[in-house]
Amino acid sequence: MSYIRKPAFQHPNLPKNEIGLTRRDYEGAMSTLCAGCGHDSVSAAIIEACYALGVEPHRLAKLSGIGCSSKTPTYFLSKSHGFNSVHGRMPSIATGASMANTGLKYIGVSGDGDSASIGLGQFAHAIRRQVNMLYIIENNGTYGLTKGQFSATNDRASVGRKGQKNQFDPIDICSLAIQLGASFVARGFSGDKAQLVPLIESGMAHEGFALIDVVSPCVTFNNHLGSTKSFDFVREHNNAVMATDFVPAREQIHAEYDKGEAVDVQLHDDCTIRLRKLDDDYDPTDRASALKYLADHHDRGEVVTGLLHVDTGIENLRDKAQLVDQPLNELVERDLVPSQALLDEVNQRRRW
Amino acid sequence: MNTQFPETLQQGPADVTSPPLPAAPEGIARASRQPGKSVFLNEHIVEIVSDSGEGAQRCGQSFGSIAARMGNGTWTVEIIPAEIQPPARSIAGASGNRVRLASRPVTNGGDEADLVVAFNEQVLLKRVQEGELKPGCVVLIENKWRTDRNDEIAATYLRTFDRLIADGYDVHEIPMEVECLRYVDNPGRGKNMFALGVLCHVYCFDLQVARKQVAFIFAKKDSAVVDSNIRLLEAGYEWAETNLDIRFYIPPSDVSKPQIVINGNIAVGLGVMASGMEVCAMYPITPATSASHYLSDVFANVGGVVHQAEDEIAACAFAIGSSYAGKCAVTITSGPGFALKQETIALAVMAEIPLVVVNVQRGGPSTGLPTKVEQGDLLFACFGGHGDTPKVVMAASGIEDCFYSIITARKIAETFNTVVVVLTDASLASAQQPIPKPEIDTDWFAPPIDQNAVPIDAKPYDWDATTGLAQRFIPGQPNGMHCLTGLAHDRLSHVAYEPETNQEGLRSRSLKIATLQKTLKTPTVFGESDGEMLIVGWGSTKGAIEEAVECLRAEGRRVSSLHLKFLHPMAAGIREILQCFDQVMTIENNWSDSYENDVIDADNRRYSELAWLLRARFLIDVDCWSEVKGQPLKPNTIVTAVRKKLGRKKTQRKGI
Ligand SMILES: Cc1ncc(C[n+]2csc(CCOP(=O)(O)OP(=O)(O)O)c2C)c(N)n1
Ligand code: SF4
Ligand SMILES: [Mg+2]
Repeated sequence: MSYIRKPAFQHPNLPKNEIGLTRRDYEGAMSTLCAGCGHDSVSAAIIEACYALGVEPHRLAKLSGIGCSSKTPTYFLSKSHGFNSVHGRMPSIATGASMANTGLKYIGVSGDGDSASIGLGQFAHAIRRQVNMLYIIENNGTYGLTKGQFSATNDRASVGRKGQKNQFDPIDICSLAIQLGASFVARGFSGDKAQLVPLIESGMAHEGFALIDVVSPCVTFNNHLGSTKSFDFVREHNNAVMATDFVPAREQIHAEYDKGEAVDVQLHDDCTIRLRKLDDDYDPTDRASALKYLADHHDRGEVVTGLLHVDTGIENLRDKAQLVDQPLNELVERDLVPSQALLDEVNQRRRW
Repeated sequence: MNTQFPETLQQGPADVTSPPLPAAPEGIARASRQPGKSVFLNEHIVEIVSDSGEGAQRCGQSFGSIAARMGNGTWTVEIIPAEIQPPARSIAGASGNRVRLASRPVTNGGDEADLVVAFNEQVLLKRVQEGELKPGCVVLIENKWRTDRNDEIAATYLRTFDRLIADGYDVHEIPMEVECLRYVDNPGRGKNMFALGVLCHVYCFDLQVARKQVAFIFAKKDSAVVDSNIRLLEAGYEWAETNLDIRFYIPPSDVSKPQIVINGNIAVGLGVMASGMEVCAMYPITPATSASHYLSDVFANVGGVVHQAEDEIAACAFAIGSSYAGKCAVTITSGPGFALKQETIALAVMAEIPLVVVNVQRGGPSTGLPTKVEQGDLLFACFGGHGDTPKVVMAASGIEDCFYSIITARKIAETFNTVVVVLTDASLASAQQPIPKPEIDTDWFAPPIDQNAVPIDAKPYDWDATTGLAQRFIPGQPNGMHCLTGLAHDRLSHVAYEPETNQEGLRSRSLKIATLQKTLKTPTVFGESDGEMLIVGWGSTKGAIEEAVECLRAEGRRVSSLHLKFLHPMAAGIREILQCFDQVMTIENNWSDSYENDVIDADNRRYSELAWLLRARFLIDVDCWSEVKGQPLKPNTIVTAVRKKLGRKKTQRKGI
């Protein structure tokens, strides 16, 4: 796959974020995806969110599998670390990395094929283990990179480009994630950046497994009339249940508190997610009702978007594994190698 | 895709003025061109390149099919960009076809191109950079860029144009879009057919045959589309007639049988159908997917199932399930998918369930070169399983052989209750050529499974002490009830860990492979049966190797070649063949260390895969030469490598 570097020139007066970086500092190489591909908008939203959050690029690792979606980490945050791994195995690689170095932020980028077919087992277990990461699935209902086969998230009602019928019911990634215990579950749409950027910011600030299923149309293979993952379909059937604003710690003091509709969810580091309910029936803290809502509205042909579930009281993998605060990869021999006395004690038990 | 035509034309077009030249040496095209005359040639290599989506592929494929209908031997290779929709006018975006056409059957894509049609100068540059064009090659280029509104584009075009002329290319500009505009509103969409018309004139093709081909490829569209494309074809033809002073005539080869034009993946699909396997399990992976897609298209008419599983593990297990239940199945994949199938392949070996696995090899390791060719999975296929997993490994050596290999594979799988791996590769998968239309032969079918009741005390693994074979009982067969297992088991399929039982199971599964080996024919040597050097190859390189051998023999070198279809087991008689030559060298499209690297010596050199196999089996000092450039090996490259090797005196060989 080709790598097209962008010109290094930057205008001296570009606005800077709190750590003195410009938006350009969060960009990546030139995208080589199809013009208009939804995935490029997701990359743009990630850039926007990281810029706004003032993420230190070298403190972040982006991991992916294989697919058009999984190629995108090349197109954002070129100053961060990255690993474009193999098809469907990113969740395990992320799990391992997040254990070895708890000091980094991890963004996983995957596709519906990568996570809902070949990688479904690994995906489920990364959720179950509450890996501390933001996991974005760029969901287009198709295998873009291998030229447009139906994927497991493709709706039953959706027809292929050449009129092929889809015979099987879809796996709903958000419902699955809620069921498996993901502590932050959202659905976005690559055509709605205003909604997506705060979701990404919140997901990154969340401590635990944060999933964002982004409906991200494939303009080449699944954007036709009859597809339920096309730009037109999602625009027409988008049911945003929750408007989300992300309020970083530094803005807390100035934030205007608009009581009534808004509910604040306190994250660690004093960040806040401010939720405004757009549908009164929706309760993002109640798993069972969220699941029912998703199922009912999916049956009506709606695409429910927004922050669907959040639980900040969970224990993440680092807590569960009782890891030391210091990243494992920073431990030195003195910390790691058992003392002679300890070894002797262990061996003593084997003596007879 | 699957073009079928009854008769091939045996006569040249009427306006050809000179008698056929006996053998046109390379480069004659330019040297002997005279105004108004067609130059007779034995062969030519033509490339058509454009931005992705501009239709050069369709133009090239149609050109190849028309050439085949005209009776030429052809070989069409896809030129594939690395991205699905690469940026316009970019070097990375070059997409199209190479067509080699000749007055004899062609077995490979050949060396460098003699003529190229380019829709812009950037895609042309890509081919120049890759060294794919012959010095002085004819270049036909769209010239609308000359007057492009974007000054930078116009300047780039002019610069490239001047460079090409200075470098000695025979450049001709064609106002493709300008001409097309006279017939259609959107010339961007139809100029590939215009280009096709130009080529049909240049190569003295019958316009009526070309019209039929165009009507055939647009058969599913309404007649207005067909008419407009034919109009553009004719326009290109007429334009070339009036404006272009280049004409080549390549007499037809003497084919008498009806032909079909197919690529290697379709040949695999046809083979699956012809063998009577109606179940195929897959997970999409380049470059294997199109074989299964082709099957799902034809199964819609003839019956059969293509199961798109959730991953390759599931696909392989599905196929094993089907075979277990009595319907032998195939699973088609490529490298990474083949890796995932290993665990279940071992299960099929252990439980002795017939299974055909096709691995359309691509460049590795890992995601490697997903669209490009490599022969990197031979040893993996032979020895990839955990524990001792004897299975049959065979390789298809050409497009037609893809078809027959699958048929043979199924027969072996069912006769020996074993796993058969068929190796093809990315170059066979997408290369297209005419092959004789296969005529159904009942010999192709595997014997039906005997489903009659077996004696009440029959044993499901009643291994024959000599051959290792046992009758397989399938579920539903009266008295054949037993529980299959991947654990070590005895003749009753009962889990058994006794030392002797385990020894007996492994022995029996291994003996089956030896028994099959006794039935294999010794492969025949291409060239004389002794000499200075024997080249040994396998898989898709056959055509290029044999062409190189012909060339070397013409130079007076005593070189022959041997091509192996069965890699595991290997037929009897190969040792004796190898012993008749002073030197034996494999030529392969995979990795081998070279002594040119200082750190490499005889103790640490990693050989090419077939060389490892031959060295291990025959204790003969087999050398190897290989390349891993993601491209099919070219005859000329092989000639050069062999010349170099033969030129070197034996005593100078390092470390031996
Ligand atoms: C083991 C293995 N099997 C198959 C493939 C081929 N493959 C590459 S990407 C892909 C699917 C991509 O679909 P998705 O994850 O939805 O990404 P998209 O391209 O749609 O963004 C497949 C099947 C592979 N690379 N590895
Ligand atoms: S094929 Fe589809 S998913 Fe892939 S880059 Fe193109 S539009 Fe995007
Ligand atoms: Mg997808």
